[in-house]
Amino acid sequence: MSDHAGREVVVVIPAHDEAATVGDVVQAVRDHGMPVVVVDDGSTDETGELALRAGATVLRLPINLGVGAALRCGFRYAAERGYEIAVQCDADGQHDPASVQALVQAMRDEHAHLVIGNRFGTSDSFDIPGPRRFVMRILARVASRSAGTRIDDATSGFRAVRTPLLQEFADRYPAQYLGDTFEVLVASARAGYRVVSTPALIRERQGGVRSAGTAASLAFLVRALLVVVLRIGTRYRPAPIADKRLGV
Amino acid sequence: MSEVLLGILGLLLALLIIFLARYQLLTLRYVLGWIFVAASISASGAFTGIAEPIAEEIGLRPEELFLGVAFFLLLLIAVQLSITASGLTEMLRDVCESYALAEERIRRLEEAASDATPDAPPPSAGVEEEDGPA
Repeated sequence: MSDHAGREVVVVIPAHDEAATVGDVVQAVRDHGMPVVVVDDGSTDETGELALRAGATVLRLPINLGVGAALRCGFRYAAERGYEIAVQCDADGQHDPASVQALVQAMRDEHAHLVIGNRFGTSDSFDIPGPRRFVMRILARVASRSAGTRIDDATSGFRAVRTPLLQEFADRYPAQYLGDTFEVLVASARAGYRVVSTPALIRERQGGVRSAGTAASLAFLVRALLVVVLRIGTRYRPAPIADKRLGV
Repeated sequence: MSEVLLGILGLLLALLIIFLARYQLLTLRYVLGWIFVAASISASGAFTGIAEPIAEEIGLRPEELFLGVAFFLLLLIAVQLSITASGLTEMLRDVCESYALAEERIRRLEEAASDATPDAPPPSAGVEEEDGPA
């Protein structure tokens, strides 16, 4: 328990069949002096092995459970090991490890519990197809209203979370579609946690397959709208979070 | 005629359920539920007389009414199974996460143990594998 005492930040990387990039990503994060935990989400390739060799702590899920479950596993690890802040980051090289510090800094400056790395906030062009962008705007609007601050990129997977919200994530992080990005943001904000957005450099993925064909975009649209309709009216069932909100 | 048909149908379903239960493909909880369904189908044949006026009222034949009710019951069972499946998925997720965390912990403890006693063979090495330095 105590070997990480004094180290506050851990980077959590969920990875499913990302052998092409995971080693470099782990190395890049470690070059910035931060410990990395890779959650190998039932990969069939060498992802876990390569991450381990690159110096990451590896949590191996025996079967593929999806990003939400992989993240919760990472958050459980972070909470159990006593970390104060966990930064989630993709294994495909889209998220610039240099920006991790920017997220943490924004968290400290704004006294935030959850910081969303905003991929539209930088000059670096990031092309997202039409329908997908449209849905993202709707999600961003709903998220902004909940958070009481402007959130441009509600589905960004580049974010930092700090205790006590980190402990909440470790206990009950939603695994269903968009739950791990959009829903968790709205639920956190509604429970009284401070959610902010900060610009982050996000690049085109360096490996793996991007799921953004026309059909995939259309599926995203339908499912996202369904999530908005189904979840927005509802409050989170386990609601003791309100008591543990920011004590500043 | 329809009474006999329904009776046979119920009996066939009951036999199937008993067969599945004997090979432990169904737990007792589901066996009881399905046996009840099978018995209801068989017994419903005897109640066509009662069903007739109701069916007539809504413009259906008694058999059609039975099929409609049966269809609705099956839908309910399907919903119940979906709920069960969702719960199982959540449990599976929880177990897998705990497994991953425990495995990492074991790996870390093993590394710490082998670091503490660098001369000792790793715990997995067979004792009779070699007789030591000759």
